[in-house]
Amino acid sequence: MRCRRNAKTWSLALGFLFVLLSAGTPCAHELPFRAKRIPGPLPLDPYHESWKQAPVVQIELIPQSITTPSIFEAKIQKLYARALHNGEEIAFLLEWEDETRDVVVDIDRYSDAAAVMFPSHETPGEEVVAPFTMGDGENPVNIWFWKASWQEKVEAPRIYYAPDPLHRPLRPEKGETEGFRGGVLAGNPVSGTRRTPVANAIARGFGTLTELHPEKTEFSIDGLGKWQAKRWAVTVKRSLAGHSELEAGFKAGEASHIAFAVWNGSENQRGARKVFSIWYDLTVEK
Amino acid sequence: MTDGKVKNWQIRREMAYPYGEKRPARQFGAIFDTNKCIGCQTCTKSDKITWTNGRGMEYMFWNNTETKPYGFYPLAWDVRILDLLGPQKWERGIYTGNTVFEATSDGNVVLGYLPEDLDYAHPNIGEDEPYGQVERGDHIVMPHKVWHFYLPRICNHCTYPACLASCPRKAIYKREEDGIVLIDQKRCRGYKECVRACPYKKTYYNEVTKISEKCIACYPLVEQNEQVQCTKSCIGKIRLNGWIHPPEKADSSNPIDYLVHVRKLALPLYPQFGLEPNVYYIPPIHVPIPYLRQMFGPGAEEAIAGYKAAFRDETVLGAFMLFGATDRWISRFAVGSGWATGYDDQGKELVKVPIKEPEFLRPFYDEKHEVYRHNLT
Repeated sequence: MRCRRNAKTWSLALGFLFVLLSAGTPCAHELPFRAKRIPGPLPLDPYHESWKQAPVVQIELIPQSITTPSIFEAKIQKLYARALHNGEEIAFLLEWEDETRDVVVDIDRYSDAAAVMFPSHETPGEEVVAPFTMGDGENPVNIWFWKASWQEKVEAPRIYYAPDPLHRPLRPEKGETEGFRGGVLAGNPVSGTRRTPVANAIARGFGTLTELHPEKTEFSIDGLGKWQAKRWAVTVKRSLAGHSELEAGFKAGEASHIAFAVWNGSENQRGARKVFSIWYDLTVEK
Repeated sequence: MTDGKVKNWQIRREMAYPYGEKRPARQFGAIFDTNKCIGCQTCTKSDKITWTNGRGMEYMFWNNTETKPYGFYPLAWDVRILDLLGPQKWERGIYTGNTVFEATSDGNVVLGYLPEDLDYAHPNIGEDEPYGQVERGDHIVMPHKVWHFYLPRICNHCTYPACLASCPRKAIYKREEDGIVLIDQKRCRGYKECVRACPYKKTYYNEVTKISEKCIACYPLVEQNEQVQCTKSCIGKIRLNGWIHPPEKADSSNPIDYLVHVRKLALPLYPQFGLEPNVYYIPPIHVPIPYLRQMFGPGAEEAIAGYKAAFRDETVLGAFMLFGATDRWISRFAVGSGWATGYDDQGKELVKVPIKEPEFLRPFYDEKHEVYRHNLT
């Protein structure tokens, strides 16, 4: 079986080349990708028993070389994905081999991360319109973005994360405020605190990722990543319905689309330096 | 990403840049006289306490003063980028080598490298360390055989910023009103592409806010027609802020244009990188020319000759006397009858300084107090 691909994306010259290059690649254990319906609450733990009920799909990831900055080589080339839903919520499990657990972001260190992407708007039964290159001006996409460094931030909040060779005062000093933390004062979600390790974002093309209502915790996406035996297993979970017009909504029995991206911190991957997939069909079981 | 061709007057040719040429209405500029810098770090301190005293900024210096040739902040920043660029050529005043925008490859917009954490850990490395050794029989010759000089550095608020070119999110912008280059603190997601791209290493990653920050040219002061904090605090009066124009629009009544374009005494730092930096340096007169040509371009020798002859030229001296003479932003100046006067945009007089300090000669014997004056104080 071969991946279904979106004809619209072919209009992109480089995207076209990319599709041609990957045309001979078998891309799934089981396609289309199905979100299995189960009764009861959905697991957040990536090692929960329930995940065994969900079919596994192998996703092909290739280095992002359509926009700058580009990468042309990457260690991570495969991702294993599963999905579960219970009629109210939907959860995805992403697993990939990664020899190193990179959770610290510093001047010369980067975090492991993964993301799933959905078109913000879809007409059931029709081809996906939004380009897999993070959408475009008229066709936004919704991205659920898990980052290992945010997982650390949620689990053990502190001022500095790197081992400290620079002898800085590590504890807040008496009367210390958040003054002179530009990003915090500007309301940048990257600088602020997080309730979950997953950002809920939209994009309208490369370089436009924008987090949605990061201050409203009730709209956040839950998630949990665990690194065991040189392998990341990450869950992301949200209600089937989107909280706003730009967020993807799912309905039992309807087809949709999903794409994936992974960043390997030890290979200095961040932003556009990532491995990613084209659209895959996603069916939410009735 | 377009492959625009833009005019870079400092390398005297067109060059590749990802965006088209668009010069701001006015461009922030500065001249630093390295001959007068004593490396006291007052500029560094005043900048530090004004802007970078927060968490994650412990080793962040928007202004630093390093000793050349062995001082670097971050470690080895200029020799590393020079090494990456490889040997390049100037021919008859025109740069025929590659800029960092032209030498790039591997999917990057700009040739660059990302420093390591510890490269920032020793801001005063190499401080006061001279090049060369004093040997028996040595005496002072020009240029000096054993030498060092201080190189004070801020963001150059380049006409063609590499940080801006490299940001995939377009989170860096150059202000139309004054050409100041800023990182949007709300839009930056901390990819560090700008830190990698800036050859001067004047964008910094803040490990606490997880985004990048840089010198803001004290824009709240510039907006009120004041010179910037590091300029105002300079006890050696080595700095002058002002508007800089491209050579074809140079205004000889503007002290920055006059010294840069008319007299060619102040030169850009590493013009061969191709960013058209807007901080200009008067090169140190005691340093061997080959080193200065590498650092300031082919005009170094002429600039030094002009500087040495400045004592004969009242207008040049007058422009120099305005360095550190006022906190206000000088747009125009005039020299005459032994006085240099600085004016603002509206032509209002801001400051008037004598070109030569007045001398008072007092008789050896003070008749009133019936004492002899000894030349002791």
